[in-house]
Amino acid sequence: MPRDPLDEVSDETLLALYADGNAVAARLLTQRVAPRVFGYATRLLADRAEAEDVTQEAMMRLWRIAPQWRAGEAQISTWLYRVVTNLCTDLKRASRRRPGVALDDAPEVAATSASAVSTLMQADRMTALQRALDQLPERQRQAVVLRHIEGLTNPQIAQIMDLGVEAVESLTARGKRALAALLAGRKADLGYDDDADEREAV
Amino acid sequence: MDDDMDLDALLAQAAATPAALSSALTARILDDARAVQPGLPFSALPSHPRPYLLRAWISEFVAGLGGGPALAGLSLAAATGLFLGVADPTALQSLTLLIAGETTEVAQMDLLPATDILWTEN
Repeated sequence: MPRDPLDEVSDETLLALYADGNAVAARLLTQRVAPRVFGYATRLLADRAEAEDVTQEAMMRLWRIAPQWRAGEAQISTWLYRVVTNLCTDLKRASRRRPGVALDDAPEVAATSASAVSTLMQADRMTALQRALDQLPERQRQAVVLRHIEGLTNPQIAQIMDLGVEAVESLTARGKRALAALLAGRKADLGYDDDADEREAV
Repeated sequence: MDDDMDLDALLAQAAATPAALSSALTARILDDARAVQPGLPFSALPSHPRPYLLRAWISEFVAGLGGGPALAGLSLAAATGLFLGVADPTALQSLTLLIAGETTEVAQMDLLPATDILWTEN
């Protein structure tokens, strides 16, 4: 299958092409950035339907700002993470005022070639991680997810969360310690004892 | 979980597990993109509503007024004001005459305004 020449261009160029009326640019940009936006929103909200709404709204704001986007001032992904962070904060604040909202929907695990048991174990681990993340204070959860799951640097996170780099380092460290404490009692349930046995056997 | 290695492994696993974007959500995003793309003759309104966000905005609005009880009080005050504005004030005539000194005897005093006008057709 021939490669689309637009596959090689930057996110920023795709956004500029979209603003110029290019019909393919929106599809390519959506394929590139929307899964990350959705993954991040799902980690923060733990509710798939709400995360989908936030993703759609964040992408809508990107489409709307496209004609005014100033090249070189910000990365599109960083800008989107910031929009999602703010939308999720608003949504969390509103949902705290609504009684009886269930927040128990971890991201689906993509099918792999691993055995069924291994796949189930992986799903259990992801669910346990999501539940532990849900128990972290909101800012710690945002910082941990951005640093350790989305793989951003501390200066990028500082920009997204509107904080200093030192504050981000502190939030991330405290969040990770709290996460480890929350998961401490579940090591055997999640099969980490088995993994340790396998490592020792090797 | 006793050591950082296990937590790091778990986080790395999460990082390597992509969130699957449904085809319905992709379609919604692309519909929005087409709807607001500069220079194209489409509606500027999004074609798919976002009920959770709408609910959040309504909740923020109600909270801004002071919450549910404050909204109920505001509604009651508005309804009472409307009632007092529409109801016939002639029921207070006996009180007015008494205060003005035009009469010294009042056999019966009804302090509530008359509601007859509310039940009269046309």
